[in-house]
Parts: sequence; structure tokens; C-alpha cells
Amino acid sequence: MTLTTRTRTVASTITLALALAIAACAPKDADIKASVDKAIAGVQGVTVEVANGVATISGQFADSAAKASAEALVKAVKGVKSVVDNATIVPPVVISADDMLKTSVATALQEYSTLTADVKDGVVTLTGEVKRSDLPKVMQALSALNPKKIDNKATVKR
Amino acid sequence: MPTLQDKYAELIAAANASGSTNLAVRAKDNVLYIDGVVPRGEAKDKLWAIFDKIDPDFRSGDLVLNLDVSPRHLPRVSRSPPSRPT
Repeated sequence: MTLTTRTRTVASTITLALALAIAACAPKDADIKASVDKAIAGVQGVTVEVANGVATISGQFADSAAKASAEALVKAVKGVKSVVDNATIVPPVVISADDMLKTSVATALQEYSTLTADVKDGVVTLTGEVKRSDLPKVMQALSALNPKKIDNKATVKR
Repeated sequence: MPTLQDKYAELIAAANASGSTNLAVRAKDNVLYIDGVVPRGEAKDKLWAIFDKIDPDFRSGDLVLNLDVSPRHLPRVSRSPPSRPT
């Protein structure tokens, strides 16, 4: 039995209407992005772009747990078909508190009697004298104490 | 305008080439912070020598370089099995 032209037209119209309805039900990328941004509002250092339902994360995470947690949050957003995570893991900078830094700096410089160190707001300022041959060791020891900055104003004796 | 990463590019490249692990390079308030683990003391000395070359006597105060030495973090080297004598 052949389909009449009228039947074919009705079938095409219904198919088209269904397709439009399905397309209208699927969230648009802009709406998905808005939902994703809301979901990860508390997550620092990352941004997410959405294209064709694929969410791409960029930026930096402090550790792998934060990365995994953010990926899960994004994946759970309605309309997200898949997640691409281009973000890297970069541990944050740690700076010691002044009272702890003063103690640890004083201990580190005990053997360098001609050197004086002042510690304020994480900045270690060196004054006095230091032998050129000792300077790298002094700098290495101080760097390990998590200062904000080391200001070498000491006279370097060669 | 060159960044701190540009200024210390030679040091960062050498650190990556030395087999260092957990290398973290980030800038904050005009100071660059480089933390990592190197497999040998010689690697650490070499990196500090590069630092000294770029910033003689460490006067700039714009880099805090913190490298631990841990032989456990030696990069893996694949070894082929010994050939059997015929």
C-alpha cells in the first residue's frame, strides 16, 4: 500500500514537531553555563566554558581532591554531556607566620654571627656581613622556612 | 613586559630537565615561588648556581627557591634484560 501525499505530509510535520520539541527541551549552552557557574561558585581559581553540552574546566586547583570534587559538581549539572578538565594542580604558596618565622630564622642563622635578620610581615631582611661562600647556604636555609620574601641587604665579603 | 617566569626561565627549564618532581611555580605579590624535589644534591647545587647567575648575590628578593633532595624521587630508567650468552 503506498502512502498518500497527505499521509506523508502529516508524518513529516509530526517528525519536525517532535524534533523541535526535543531541541527545545535540551538546555542551551548559555543556560548550562549559568547552572555550572552557580554550582562551582565557591571553587577558587577555575572557570568553565560550555559548548554543545561539553563543559571544559580551566585554571588551577590546590590539590587533586579539589579537582575531583569540582569535576563531580560540573558533571552533575543538568545538560552537561561530558566534562573536559584542562585545569592543573598547583599547590598554593605557604608563608610562615612572623612569630614562627622569627624563631626559625634565628635558629638557621645561629652559626653566622655577623649576619642579622629582621622579620616583618613575612619579609626576612638580612643586614650585616656574610661570606660569599656562605651566601648560597644561608639563602637555601632561609628559603626552606617559607618566608614571603628574602631581602639581602648584607655586605657580601669576597 | 617580562614576567618573573620569563626572568627565571633558564632556572625553570633546568629544574624540569633535572628530573625534579612536584615542581610548583607560582607568582604572588611580585615574588616567584618555586618548590620541588630533586633526586640529587648536585642537581640542587646546579639550580642554585643558575639562580645566582640570574640574580647575583640574590639581591632582587624576587624568588624564593625551595628544593628538597630525595633520592627516592629518582626518575625511573627502563633497563633492557641482559643478553644471554650463546
